[in-house]
Amino acid sequence: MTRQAGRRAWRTPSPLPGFSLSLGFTVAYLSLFVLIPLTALAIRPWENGFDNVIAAVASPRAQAALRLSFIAAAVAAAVNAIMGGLLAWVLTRYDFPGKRLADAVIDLPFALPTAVAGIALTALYAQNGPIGGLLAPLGVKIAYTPVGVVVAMIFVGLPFVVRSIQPVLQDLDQEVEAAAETLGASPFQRATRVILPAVLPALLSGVGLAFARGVGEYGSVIFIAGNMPLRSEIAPLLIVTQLEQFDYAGAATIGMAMLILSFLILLGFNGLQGLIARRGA
Amino acid sequence: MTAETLRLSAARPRNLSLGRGLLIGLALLWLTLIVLAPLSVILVEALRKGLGAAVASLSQPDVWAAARLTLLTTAIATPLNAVFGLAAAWCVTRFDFIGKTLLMALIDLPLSVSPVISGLVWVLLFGASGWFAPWLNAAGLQIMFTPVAIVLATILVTLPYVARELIPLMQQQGSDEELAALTLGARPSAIFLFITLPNVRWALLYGVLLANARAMGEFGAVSVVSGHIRGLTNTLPLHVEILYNEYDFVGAFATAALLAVLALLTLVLKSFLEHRHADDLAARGRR
Amino acid sequence: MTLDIQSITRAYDGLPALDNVSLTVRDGEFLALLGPSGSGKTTLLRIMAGLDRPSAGQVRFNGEDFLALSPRERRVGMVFQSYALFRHMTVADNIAFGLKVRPRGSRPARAEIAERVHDLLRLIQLEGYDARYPSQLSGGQRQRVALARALAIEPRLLLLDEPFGALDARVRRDLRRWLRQVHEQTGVTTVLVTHDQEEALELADRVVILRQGKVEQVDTPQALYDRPASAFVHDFLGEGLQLQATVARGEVMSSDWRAPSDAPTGDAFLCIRPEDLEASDTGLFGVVISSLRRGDRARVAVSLHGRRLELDRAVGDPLTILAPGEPVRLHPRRFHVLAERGDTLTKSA
Repeated sequence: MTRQAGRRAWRTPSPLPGFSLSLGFTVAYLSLFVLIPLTALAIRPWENGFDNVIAAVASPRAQAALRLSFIAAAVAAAVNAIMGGLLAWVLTRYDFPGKRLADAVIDLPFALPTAVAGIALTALYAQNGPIGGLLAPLGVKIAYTPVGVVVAMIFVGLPFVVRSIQPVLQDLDQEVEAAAETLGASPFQRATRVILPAVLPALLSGVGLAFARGVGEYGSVIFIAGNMPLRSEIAPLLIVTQLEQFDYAGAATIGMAMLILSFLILLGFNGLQGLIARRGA
Repeated sequence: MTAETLRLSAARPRNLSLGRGLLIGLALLWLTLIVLAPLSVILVEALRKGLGAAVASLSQPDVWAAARLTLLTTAIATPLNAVFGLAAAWCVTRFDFIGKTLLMALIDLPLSVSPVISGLVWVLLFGASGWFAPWLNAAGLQIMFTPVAIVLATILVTLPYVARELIPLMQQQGSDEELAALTLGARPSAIFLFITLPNVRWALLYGVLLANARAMGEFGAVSVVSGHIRGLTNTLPLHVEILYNEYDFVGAFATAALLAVLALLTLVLKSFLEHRHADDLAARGRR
Repeated sequence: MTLDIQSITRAYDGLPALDNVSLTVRDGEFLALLGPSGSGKTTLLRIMAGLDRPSAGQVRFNGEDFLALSPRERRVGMVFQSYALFRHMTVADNIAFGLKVRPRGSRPARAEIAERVHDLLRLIQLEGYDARYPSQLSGGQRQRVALARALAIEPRLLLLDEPFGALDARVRRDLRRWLRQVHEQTGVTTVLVTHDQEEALELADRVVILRQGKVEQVDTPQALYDRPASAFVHDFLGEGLQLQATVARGEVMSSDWRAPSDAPTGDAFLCIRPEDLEASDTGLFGVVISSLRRGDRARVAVSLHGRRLELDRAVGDPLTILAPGEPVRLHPRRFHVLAERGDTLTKSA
């Protein structure tokens, strides 16, 4: 009895077995594989003093790499918002031959190893590749430029956006659209006034996921990027380069900066989502 | 109203057929450019010098060693993460305690961390000037650039997958069935084996499949900790990079094709499991 | 085989769900825990099952400390509000579960289990349904399977948590009658939680009325009706009128009406059942609002001291000849003078 009363302070008693065992294992496992390693990431940069942290982040190369990773991820997320939205719309609303196959391959970027995607995209969009070759005469270069980085990030982010919106579009009451149509709304008005507001929260959350994935993306980007410092070098690659030079503190600093930046951006994004959700309710 | 709606929706496709065709065409073109074309280019490049060359490049001992390491890594990381997923889902969905929200956030954390960072953290701990380096040196142990580091990095990257499938399902199912089993005299092991496990089996398999696919294909995290020692610390995705950088394009794309086939297999299994998984959820909803 | 509950208190986040509750469940009886939502009845049931633990107090079963036993060791059959049938098991496997998970030494032989399942299927009138899955059954059938599963372990105590809550009215009525029959056949001590007074009164030998975590009254259905302990009980057990009144000098007084009463001096409630009111020259002033005839009965709605009351009368009763708008005086043949809650002021007349 007394033992029970003492425990109630931090947990509600339950007759089900296995609380201590499962929680103990969960906490130990998380500590071992997540908490301790990430603590090292948070502490390591400060070993050489505050000034070095600032210097490492403020160096032109780091600045360029961080800017490229974040801006390219943002552009890719924006493109995915539009084209992923279109794909989700077409897949939920229209019937056409090959629809099931199209729906299934949306998940391919989830399943395909990033290095495989990387060399495939490079072969495709390089100047001697099947698509890159078509664009070269027009003066458009994709592989080995920041545009290539964006293309790779579009690839990895696509399923996040499509899979977030699809269920919402499926559940959306088509009678509401029909009602809007009877009231004289044009297709464009129906899309912007009726459908978009309903889909927006899911779209934003999908775009947020795609953005986060893009920022940290490494495997599919490094082959197509060209990896020129200051121009087409992404932040994760800079980390790898610094590790190869045994600059642990420098690598950890860039890693920490990436985590903090993504965290802040996603926090703002969640705030925006909350705002929209509240307005919708 | 209903009749009106029916008439409208029946009329719509004809009215908008041009726009509809345009939208479908645009969507499919995009899907082809972004997803299907890369997939097919893998096959084309692998077979550029004929099937024989592709098969020959796959039968190199280095490829076999890389495949073995990939399978070994997956065979360690996935079961561990499955056990973790079950334990985490059990304590998070069946009990109320302070710090639960924080625990759930921690479980999801690896998803929002760059794979390179998931590798980097192990270097910070076990690398040449890592936290535990003096202790490891004294003991004569090496973790960095060994399969152990590859397993550690893979576990971190794939840690959330099983837990994330189980937690929402078990939350939705509630604990009434387990409580009923308890009052009927079932031991904890019987409750787990006969009630909980069968109820989540499809979700568990689904999570294992996702974790498996990610573990076999992981590149960034593994690349940082592996040291790329051929025959020793090289996984299949890393081997793709090595061959590619050595301009052995047929070898690189043949290995990539092997991984792509595994990915396609994963997708087939995934859509099968999705149906089962959805049935579970729907059966629940019907009650 | 009695269950003794002594001074049980259970608090959630400092708010008491049960406040010093004492209660005895007698051997073989059918006891109903009746109360509005939030009265603590389900918490009390879960404490009996061992699914919840009291913050203070004792639970004894035949003198044995029940709180020291895990729910697994109590051998208590519980039927959950959601039925909690095992989704992936057939009806037969569901019913057999409690027998199959027994430790090897006390586990019945396979044939014995099969026979027991068969007997139970006959009891719940679902013979031939043994290979079905819960999702293939109707709500009422699931409810019966849940009951059979609880009975299979030959429970020392059967606990039912709002067992008819999710069913429609007709199925509910049939199942109620059937449940009472099963109780008489098996003789298992049974505790039922419900918020439906009709259900409690029809099924139970004794009814416990709970309110805000406290026992308001424990008695047989007839006694609850005849001698309610408080205005709350009077109100909860069916239609009735509770009028504010004062007791002074051996008289109860409610606005213009008074009658002798031995209730203690002070504020009280004058509680009257509609069937105890009759048109008369004396009594409470009222106005007929409407009068609806249906066959040989009539429903007369009367406004009484600002309250609306429906009176069901045989056609020909003096009340039924009054037209809407007409004044009437109603004399209570029987009334209770009660405190709003708890320990009574004692009744009268």
